Amino acid sequence: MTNAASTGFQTFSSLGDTIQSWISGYNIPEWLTITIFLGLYFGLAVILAIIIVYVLAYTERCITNVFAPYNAVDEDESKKHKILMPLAHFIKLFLKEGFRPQNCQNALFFVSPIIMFSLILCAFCLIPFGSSVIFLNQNFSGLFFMVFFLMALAIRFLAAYAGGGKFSFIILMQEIQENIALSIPMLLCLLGVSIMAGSLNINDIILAQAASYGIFGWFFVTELIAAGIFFVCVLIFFDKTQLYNLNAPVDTVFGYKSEYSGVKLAIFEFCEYLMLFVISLFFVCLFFGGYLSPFGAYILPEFLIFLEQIFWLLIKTFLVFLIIIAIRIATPKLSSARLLEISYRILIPLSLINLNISILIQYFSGVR
Amino acid sequence: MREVTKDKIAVKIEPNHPITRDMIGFDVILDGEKISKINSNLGFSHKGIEKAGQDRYIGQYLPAIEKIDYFAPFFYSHAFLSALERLSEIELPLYAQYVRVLTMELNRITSHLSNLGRFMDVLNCRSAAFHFFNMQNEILNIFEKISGGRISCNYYVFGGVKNNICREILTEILNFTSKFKEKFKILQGFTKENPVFLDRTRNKGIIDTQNALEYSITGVNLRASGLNLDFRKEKPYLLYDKLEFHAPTVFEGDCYSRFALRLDEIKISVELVKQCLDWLLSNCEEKCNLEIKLSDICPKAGAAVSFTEGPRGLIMCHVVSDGGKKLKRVKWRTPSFYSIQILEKALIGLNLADFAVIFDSLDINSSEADR
Amino acid sequence: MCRRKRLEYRAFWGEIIMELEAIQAFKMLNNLKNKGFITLLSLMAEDLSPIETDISGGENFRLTYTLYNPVLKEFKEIQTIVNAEMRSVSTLFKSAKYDEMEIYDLFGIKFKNHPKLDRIFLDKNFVGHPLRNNYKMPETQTKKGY
Repeated sequence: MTNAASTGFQTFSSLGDTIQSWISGYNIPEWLTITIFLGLYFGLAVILAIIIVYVLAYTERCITNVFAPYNAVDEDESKKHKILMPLAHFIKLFLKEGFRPQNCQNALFFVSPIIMFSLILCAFCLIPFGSSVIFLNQNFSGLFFMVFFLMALAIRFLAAYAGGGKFSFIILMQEIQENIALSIPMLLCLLGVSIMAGSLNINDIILAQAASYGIFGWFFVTELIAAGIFFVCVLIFFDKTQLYNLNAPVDTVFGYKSEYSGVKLAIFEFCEYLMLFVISLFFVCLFFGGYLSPFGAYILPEFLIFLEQIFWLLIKTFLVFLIIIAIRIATPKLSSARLLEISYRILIPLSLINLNISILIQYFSGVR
Repeated sequence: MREVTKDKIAVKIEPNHPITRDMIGFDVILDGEKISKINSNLGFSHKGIEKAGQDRYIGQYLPAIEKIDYFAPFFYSHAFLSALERLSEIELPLYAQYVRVLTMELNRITSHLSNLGRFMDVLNCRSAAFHFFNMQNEILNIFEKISGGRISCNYYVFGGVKNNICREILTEILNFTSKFKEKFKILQGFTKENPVFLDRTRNKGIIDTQNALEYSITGVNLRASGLNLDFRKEKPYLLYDKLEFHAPTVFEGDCYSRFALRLDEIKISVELVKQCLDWLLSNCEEKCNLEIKLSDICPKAGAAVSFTEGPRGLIMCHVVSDGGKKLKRVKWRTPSFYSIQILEKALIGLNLADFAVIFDSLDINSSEADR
Repeated sequence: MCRRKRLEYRAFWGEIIMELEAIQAFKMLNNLKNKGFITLLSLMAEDLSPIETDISGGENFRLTYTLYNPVLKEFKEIQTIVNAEMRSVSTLFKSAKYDEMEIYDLFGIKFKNHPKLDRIFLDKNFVGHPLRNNYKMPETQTKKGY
């Protein structure tokens, strides 16, 4: 499609192709087709995001009931399923007054939640949901994904700075240190995996894990260290806030969200869940075979294969999400100094060792 | 951010802050990330209890006492009443003494559990916090069956207790003590064997014995620094000279030893409860209704002092009366008032993240400090 | 001219009580601290004047110091009667700093050589000392907000 190629994107998917050809059949100028295309994508992505976050919030509520049951309430009542609870929580936040503190930076204050949300959607569109359901298939999509994700995390700093209070300032310093210290091992793990797979394109990484013996061809077998490091980094990134905690993280009132209230706070909490979902999608694509089935072959016929691929992907991410939340509830929080020590002394050297091992394996088994 | 002077930031921790969740204000001067100076502002929950003691009749004053410290109401009631009973030279019946020891030890358990549960919440470990709170909740249900109130019960009367405890409630307490051992292993697993807990609390906020004695610190905080001082054995009141128990001491004096000592004290309180239950189950049909009208209590002229070992330290109550229906002067010595002074000294050089840890380990209650 | 009744003070659990004048009391406290009574458990103040007088002249307040020796495990009490001023013991006993601020706040007794004698519980602009016997509650009391 020359229209799309002129802007630099390469849309490779059958879904995108059909939609674009349908739109451009109406004789509209180029820029309008692109905007309609992107608008449809973002609209669909927002709806999907709302559904996903709702399901995730409900599962977190169910899991807290298992691990942290409050027996003061009547047992019959606590066993009733509170399926509308996330809705109630978000409606409550929407109805609150959007308070603007005196010392805040106006433009950043209003815009930072929206920037965070759009960056996550950009990262979301790089993940392949099936071999023919990819939205953007770029040559370096793994690296672009990490860039978008880390930028979304960096918006936390902007949000803390925009708040303008003294506690926000202290938080800012702490968070910058932690983010830098934890993102280096993640990038090194990604490099290790890409060397085993031969390219940084996520789709190629998934296809490199496809073998006839199914589950044992996935990268978590050969790159166990990298999988462990990545998982630990993800846990620590998202250890600080939970949706239904009664008492906020203590040493820094509410983190970077201290000065926000109302709709902006709702968007931040929404984005936290979405970030966790997106990074666990990435984790599954890198180490657990993405949309591949563990049996090595698909059950459904060819024209319905994309359904099965989406099914396998979502099941795996859901399991990873469950494990992360369960660990988050039951373990206490590390102090900031100890976190930095762990990352610089343990995680970075291990990830470098992993990188060396994968280079040596690839060198001795023939150059790809 | 407008008050940064050179490298130091002045931060105010206002009352009802998530760090302390208590009504104390602090003025903190931070040097980078470390605290260099700290001043405290008290008085946000000053209720004028000592003035109320002069304006109210004694029967009216008893419910007000229980609000001094809402986690240890039985101790304060006992402190006041034992001073009055000594003044009027009244001896309590044996049944009332056993019941008072039973309820006071149960109250000590709830206070320690709530302190530990709050600390696990500070560490953001919710399932641990709920284990502690659920256990506390069982005991609060027992209090409700005894007296009608969960937290402030108004159960002690001048000369004894209000009504007796029937056999079903005693069997419930017995069930609680028999299931306690397995649950205690879970609680220990969350605290003593948890590496993150150890990492957050070891070698922080060390208080040595000499300093503690000069700042007049008593109770768990002093026993964790190495000196074995327990006012239940120094000045035995009620039945503590007949019951068998032994409060342990630890020698390090850091935050971890204080928390670990509170856990061990829960075990000892359970043993004391079992000893009281043995006697009470065989003599539970005694009557102890005293028919004194609340407004007619009239102690003799004079003055007296009572010593009580509360969960946070030593509680002293001075009572001065001139023979009338209202007291002339009531003075309370509360332990949290003195813990705040040593907090200001122990925090210099540490991060804000350690502030919450040390605050919770010293077991400070602002309502008790302000009276 | 009203007569003041001296209340009988009973020894409770065998403590030794000494009643001294202000200057002697300070010296005695110093001595006891050097002998090992390092803990000041509590500091209590009482108003001895009768309830309905307007003039506060003569001796009015009684202070009670309770000391403890952790090695010998002994208690001692020292009482003094002061007018409106007393020498501060915060150099000897560190825990006395807040005690004396509280007594100044509620009774109005001033302590010399105290590092920072300020109101601690009540508002900084409060007028009057509530626990005195001749304190009358005003009908309205204004308080400055933050």
